[in-house]
Formats: sequence, C-alpha cells, structure tokens
Amino acid sequence: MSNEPKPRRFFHISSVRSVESEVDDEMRFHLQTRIDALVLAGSSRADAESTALREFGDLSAARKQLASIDRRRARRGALHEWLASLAQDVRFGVRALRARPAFAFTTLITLALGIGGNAAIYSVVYAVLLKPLPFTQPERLVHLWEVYESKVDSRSEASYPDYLDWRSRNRAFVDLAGYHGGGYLLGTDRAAVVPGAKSTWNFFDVLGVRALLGRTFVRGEDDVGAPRVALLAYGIWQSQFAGDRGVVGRRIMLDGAPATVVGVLPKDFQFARRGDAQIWTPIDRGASMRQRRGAHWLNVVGRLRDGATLVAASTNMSAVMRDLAREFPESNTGRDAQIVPLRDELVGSVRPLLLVLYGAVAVVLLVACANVANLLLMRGTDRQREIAVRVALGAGRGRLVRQLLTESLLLSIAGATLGLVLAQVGVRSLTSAIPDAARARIPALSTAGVDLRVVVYSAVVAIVAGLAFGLAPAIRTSRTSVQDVLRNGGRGSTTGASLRDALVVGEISLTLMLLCGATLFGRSLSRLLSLELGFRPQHVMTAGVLLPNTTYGDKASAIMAFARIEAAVRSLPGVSDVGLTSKLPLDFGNSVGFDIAGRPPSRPGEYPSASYRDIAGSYFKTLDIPVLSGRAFDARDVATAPQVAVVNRAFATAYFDGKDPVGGALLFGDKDTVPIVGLVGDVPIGNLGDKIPPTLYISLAQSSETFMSLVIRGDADARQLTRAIERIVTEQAPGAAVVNAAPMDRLISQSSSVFLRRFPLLLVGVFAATALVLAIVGIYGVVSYSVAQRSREMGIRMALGAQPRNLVGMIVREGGWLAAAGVGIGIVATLIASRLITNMLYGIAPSDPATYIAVSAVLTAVALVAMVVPARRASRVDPSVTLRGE
Amino acid sequence: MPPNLDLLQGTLDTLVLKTLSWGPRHGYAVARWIKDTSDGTILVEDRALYVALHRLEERGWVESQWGLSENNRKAKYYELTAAGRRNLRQKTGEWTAYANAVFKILQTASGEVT
Repeated sequence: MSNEPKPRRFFHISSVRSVESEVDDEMRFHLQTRIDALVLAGSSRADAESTALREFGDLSAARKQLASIDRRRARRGALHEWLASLAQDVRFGVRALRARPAFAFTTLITLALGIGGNAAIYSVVYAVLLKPLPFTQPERLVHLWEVYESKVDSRSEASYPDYLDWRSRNRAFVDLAGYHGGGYLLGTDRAAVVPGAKSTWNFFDVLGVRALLGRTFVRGEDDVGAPRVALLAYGIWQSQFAGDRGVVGRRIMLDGAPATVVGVLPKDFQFARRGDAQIWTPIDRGASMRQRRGAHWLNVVGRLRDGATLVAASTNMSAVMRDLAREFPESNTGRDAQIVPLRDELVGSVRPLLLVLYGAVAVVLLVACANVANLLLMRGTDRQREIAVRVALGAGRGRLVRQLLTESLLLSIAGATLGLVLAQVGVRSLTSAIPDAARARIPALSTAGVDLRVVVYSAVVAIVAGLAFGLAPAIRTSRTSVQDVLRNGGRGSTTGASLRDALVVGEISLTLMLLCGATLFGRSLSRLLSLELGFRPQHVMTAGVLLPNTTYGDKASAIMAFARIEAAVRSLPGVSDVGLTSKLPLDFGNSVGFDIAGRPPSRPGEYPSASYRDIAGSYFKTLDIPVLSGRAFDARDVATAPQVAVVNRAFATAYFDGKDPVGGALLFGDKDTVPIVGLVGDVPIGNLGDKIPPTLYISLAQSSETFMSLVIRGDADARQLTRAIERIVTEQAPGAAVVNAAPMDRLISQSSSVFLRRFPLLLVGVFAATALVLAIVGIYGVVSYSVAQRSREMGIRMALGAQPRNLVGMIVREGGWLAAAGVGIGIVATLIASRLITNMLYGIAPSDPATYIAVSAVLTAVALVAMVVPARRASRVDPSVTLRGE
Repeated sequence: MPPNLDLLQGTLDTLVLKTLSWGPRHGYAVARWIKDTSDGTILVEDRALYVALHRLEERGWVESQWGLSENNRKAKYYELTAAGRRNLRQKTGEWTAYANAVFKILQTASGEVT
C-alpha cells in the first residue's frame, strides 16, 4: 500500500447517526445471524437464543464499551478532519498567493503599515494610559491642588500649614503626603547634579511603595533639624553605587553635607511628576515652613478611603478649606481644594494627543483594509474561472468562503508579523523623538515597546482586519455562478463594482481626514514658531549653575560666586554678552503678591501678583529684550542700595492701565516700598503661545538664589563653550555644578508647546502620507482594473469612431464622481472629528476653510491623475487586439 | 478473566487483522472464521472480538462501512487499511520468529532427554 493521500471524506457515518444505535444494529445483526444458523442446524429457537447470548458475553457491558470507543474515535476524527482541512486551506492559500507575488507583496506591505502603526501607537497608549501605575491600588490615589475660586486656572501647590490641617481634618483619605521637586549636588569635588525630590515622611507609605533594600522614611524624619537621610532610586543605585547591597547605612555627600542612605527604591518605582528623580530626601525647609501659610510649594497626594468617591472627597476638602479661610482670612480667603485622579494628573496633557494619534493610525488601518479588500475583490473576479471549476467539482459555498478567508487571514497574519518589526522600529523612533524633559514627565513612555501584550493585540487586530477585508470579497467571489463564467468566455464579469466604488470613496474620505489633520497641525506649528518672541534666541547659549546651599547658605557668598562666574565667562573668546537669571524664558516662575503704592490695600487673597525672576549681568541686553522706559539694573543696584524693580509691558497693562509704570512703586508685605525703575518688553513665560503674565524682575544683588542660569550671546561653539563654563564654575565655585547646558533656540524647539504640535504633526503627517499613498494605489488599481474589464467595450467604442481622448474623458468622468463623493464625505467627517483637536491647535480653527479647500484640491488632483494614467494606457490599445482577445 | 489477557488481546488483534486480509467482512464472519479455522481451539467471547474490531478501527488499522449481508440484512463490514496491513505484516513476522524460537528450544530439549 502507498502513502497516497486518500480522498477526503466530508462526513463520518458516526457523526450522522448516533453511536449507540449503530452499536445496537451491529450486535443485533450478529445475534440474529447466529440464531438463524443455530436454528438451521436443528436447535430450538429458545436454545439458539440462549446459546447465541452466552457465546456473545455480557451484552450491556459490550454495548457500553463499544459505544465509548466509537465516540472517542468520532471526536478525534472531527478534530483531525478540521486540522487537515485547515492545513489544506493554508497550503492552498500559500500556493495561491505565491502564484501572484505582486498582489501578495502589495497587500503584505499595506497590512504591515496598517497593523504595525497600530501596534506601535497601542504600545505607547498602553504604557502611558492603561498600564497600572507602579503603586498599591493606584486607582485610589489622587493629587490635590489649591485653587483660587475666582480665577480660572489658578491652581497652585499647597502651603505646608494647609497640608498639615488637611491631613488632620479630612475624613475622606486614608492619608495625605506631600512632595516637591529639586536637584542635588552629589559628591564633593567634581560634584554632579542629580535630579531628585523631597517628600514628607509618609509619602511612600501613601503610595504603598516598599523599599527594595533598607526602608523608606519614618515618622519624624521630615522634622526641622532631623538627621539627614536619603533614598536612592534603582537607577542611580546601579549606575553610581554599582548595585552594592551594602549601600544602606552609608553616608553620601548631598549638597555639600553628609546624608545617610536608608534605602533603595524598587526598580519599577517612578513617580511620574518627578520621573527623573534619582534621590529622595525628606522635605527640609527651615522652621518657617510651618508658619508661612501663604507660601505654596508642596504638592500633595492622597489615598482615598475605601468607599470614598472623588466627589465626596472634594466636598469634604472644600468644607475643610472654608474652615481654614475663616480661621486664616489673610492667607486663605477664597481658596478651595481641587482633587484630580493621580493618573489624570500624570498623563492628563498627553491623553488627548495619544488618543488623536490612536485615531489617526486606526484610520490608516481602515484605508489599508479598504485597499486590501479592493485588491481581493479584483482578484476574486480574476479567479472566477478557478472558483467555477471548484463549484462544478462540488465545493460548497461555505467551504469556498472558508478557503478565501483563510487566504485573507494568512495575509493579515503575515502582514502583522512584518508590522511588528515596523512597530518595534517605530516605537523606538517615536520615543526618541520626545525631548528629555517630556520623557521625564512621562516615565512610562520608556517602557513602551513590542512585548507579548502588543503581539497579542496585533494578532487580534490582524484577525479582525483579515475578516473585515476578507469577508465581503469572499462572499462576493463565492457567489460565482458556473453559467455566468462560461457565458462570459471565462473573462469574468464585473461583479462587485459597486462595492469597489464604495471602498474607493471611503479611502478618499479617510485620507482627506488625515491630510486635513496634518495640515492643521502644521499650520499651528508654523504660527507658533513665527510668534513674536520678544527676544532673540539665536546665538544664545544657556547653562544652569547650581551652588551647594550648605556652603553658599549666606546670600553674599552666592552673589559673589555668580558675579565671579559671570565675569570669567564674559572674558571667554567669542562671547559678546552675558546675563544671569533665576528662570529662563519659557520656564514657569514663582509668583509674588504685592500692593501698589498710593492705592488702597487689596483685600486678602486679591493682591495683584506677578511672575518674578532674579537677574544679573546684562540679562536684557544679552537676550535683546528692549528696555522701553527707564533703565535696566546696573552697578547702582547693590545689596546695600534700596531695592528696585523692573516690570514688563503686561505688568503695565494689568496694573497701570498700560501707562508707563516707571516712577510707581510696589509694597511687599510690611517691608519697604520698591520703586519701579524700568519697563521692558514681554517675554513668554511657561508655554509658548500662552498669554504672557505680568512679570517682575529683581536684581540678584538684592535678592538671594543658589541656582541661576547663564545666558550667553556669542558665536562660540556650543560644545567648547559648555566645557569652558564647566571649567570656570569648578574654579570659581568649588562644589558647584553646571546643568542643562543648551542653546536657547533648542530649548524653544523642545519646549512642550512646540513639541505638543510638532509631535502630532510628525506622526499624523506620516500617517496621512501613508494613507495618501495607499489611496493612490487603491484608486489606480481600481481604475486600471475596471478599464481592463471593459477593454471589449472600449474596443467597440473605438471601432465605432470614439477618440482615445473621449474614452479617457469617459473614465475620468466616472471616477471623478467617486473622488467628489469621497471628498464631500471626508469634509463632513473631518468637520466633526477635528473638533477633538481644537485644544491642540494654535491660532487656527479646526474648521479652517483654507485648509479644507487646499487639501480637497490636492487630493482631487492626485485622484484624477491616478485615474488618467491607466485610462490613457488603455485607450492607446489597438481595438482589433482587444476585440479579438477572447 | 485469564491473567494473560494482554497477550491474548494483542494476539486477538492480529488474528482479526489476518481474518480481514482477504477482504472486507462483517463481525459475525470474523468470529466464525476464527472459531472454525482454529477448530475451536481458540475460545473467545464474541464480545471480545467486537471490542477488538472497534479498537482496531479507532487505531486506524481497519475501516468500517455499512452494507448488505448475504442474508440480506444490514451489516457493518470491516476492511483493512494500509496501516492495518503493515501492522499485520509486522506482527506476523514477530509471531513467526517467536514461535520458531520457542519451537526450536522445545525440540532441542526433547533431543537431549532421549
């Protein structure tokens, strides 16, 4: 006997009739035959029956045993059957695809782009929005802010006394804890600046984080004057301490003074608002922090009690705040508390961005599916003869659909596999395109990548997509009737034309959506970048200088150190001007409240306020910020001289009705009056494009800072300059460190407002381009196909005297309707969808007509070209050839 | 049940396969043939034969099909598959070798005694 595969049987007898009745029939036959034989041999009927039964053995046991064997066989047979037919379908599918490599390649690339893009964005969406935060019961964690009732967007950190009262008076939280950011100088001589944070002693208990080694903070460690202790993040423990388990108990130099390491934090610990924090210490402000209820600097997190809702907690906290306002009207009038789920606080700003990207990439996948569906439809028509033969040979409709679907799934799974490779590359470039500052705020981003979850997700997407683009063509193709095909001489009929048209319309409208989105982001970005900055960022280098506050604790020594550094930098070759500032433009500043001399004092909580920054050197001149009136700070403004202030134009507008404020004066608490000596132009503070707030400048000589940023104008090479600055700082202020040296224009291009437009522009742009290419391929394919299908009709028309020009016109007219319908539907859909990105745009309406008109025109033109090319080619063919081509 | 049931079962399988080696038969015919050919030496319940047949079918060594018997009754016919035929050939070889060996030993023993 050979190994030839046997013809497959579609039905097993046992699966049709019940197993038991077959066994009964078989045994009955045996017994009857035996009885007959015995009777024939001369036995009496009764004897024959008893003999037959005796010879057979236990009848009911046999019945049970045989039935169970047969049932087992039937089950195994069915599975086997199914696997065998699946294997057959797959083999057949692979063969069919290999027979048309161009088709297989096109669909594979299309699907890889669609599914891969999806997987890439999904991995980011999962890491940032869905993955549980690395804390115990993270959904119970909230972030608390103070807000000022009468002002929009007035939220601020809590004051320490308020936090203590919140903690003791609330009934909604298990506990509250506070933290704030900061940096440390680690080490002694060549000190390095390490990003870090400070927290109340119970911070890690509230988050539910336990130390990997040692312990977290304990009660009393955040008291004024408590011994200095520190927690190391996993990263720095590995990089600076070589993962030494003996690090607990060791003393390290922090800001020039020793501190004891009490523990190491677990590897997955990341508190996103201080995502880059490598060292945590207890808050260590002086005793005054307990008294100053007006100083808002503490971020507060809380863990809701079981059963406490966000609303109930808000109500409770508002009541607490009302009590505090009654008790401390001076500082707390009009103040309320705001509670935000921690996840929203951490990723709130990127959530809409990611969802838009997710939507955009889903649209790309839809276009890809439409394209593949179209290709399959056309291919189905090509395969009608093959299908007809299989129908004639007895293949059922269901069987054919299954075969065709197997081919689709093969395509989509192969596409997904290729897509995962693209996704891995995509996620890498995606996350590396994000500026470090933004990455530090969203630490979960770094965990994005192709993992098992993404693979499973892609498999699901692939199967859904495979069914989505495969089902309609499969059903359509399987409807092939033998007679039709034979009647058409095997050239196939134009079945599915309307479905193909609908898919083309859909592709065009989806592509229009993406193109409009990309254009809107692009125009936002260009408007943002063409903003009048109020200063010249070109050829300006910036670098932060951090002095250890343990050695530069007194004002004078810090001011002198900064002055020495400034003078030394000024003498460097290629440097034309140097200034210092406590906050660079685009840095958010602290604000300060005051009264204006000569006006009635403000009511509590309603003081005028301004963002303030300490400056030194020729700050305004270096950045080219114009002095509009009065003067900038100069040699007169020393520590011993009366304090003076410079304000910006927004300040004059807000508090002096736009008149020149020079000559006016400000009152800070019960201190001296501070005259305004100068008025300067506006410079953005915080986000580019936001309204510029009133800003107040104070001379460093009359203030106190241990962190200042150098701004240096000149044409020196950035890298050499950085090295020179580092050398100068080490010489002039031993123990100090240089941080974040970067050209000013790079700070602008990486600032979050620019990034939040550039990033979606980049991605939506890539998606739109992909969709456009797919749509072009789709339109081109459909038109060339329908032209080929109609070659006989065209041949007849030409034989009857039609010019090629007429034929091209005819085809383009027909296709033009599709393009018009696609553009029309696309415009309506975009008008609806673009409302979702209103807040992400800048200076342009989501319904901006110029954008819609331009994109529609371009897309229509592209669609028409994609139609004209195949139409012209077809019209050049000799009619006698097409007519004979039976 | 006799203690050497396993051996008996395996042997029975081979005998059933042999029975079917000349063409499809129903269970009754298999039972009669074994009884008649062994001159009643091999006494086995019909039930055991049927279990053997169904197991062989489960193993893919025989296939069954319903047909009409010589007395015009509906009967289930068993037929050897290629795999069944291979198994029969292998088992026959093993049995022959085994029986020859046993036979040879028994012969030698009797020669020494005399």
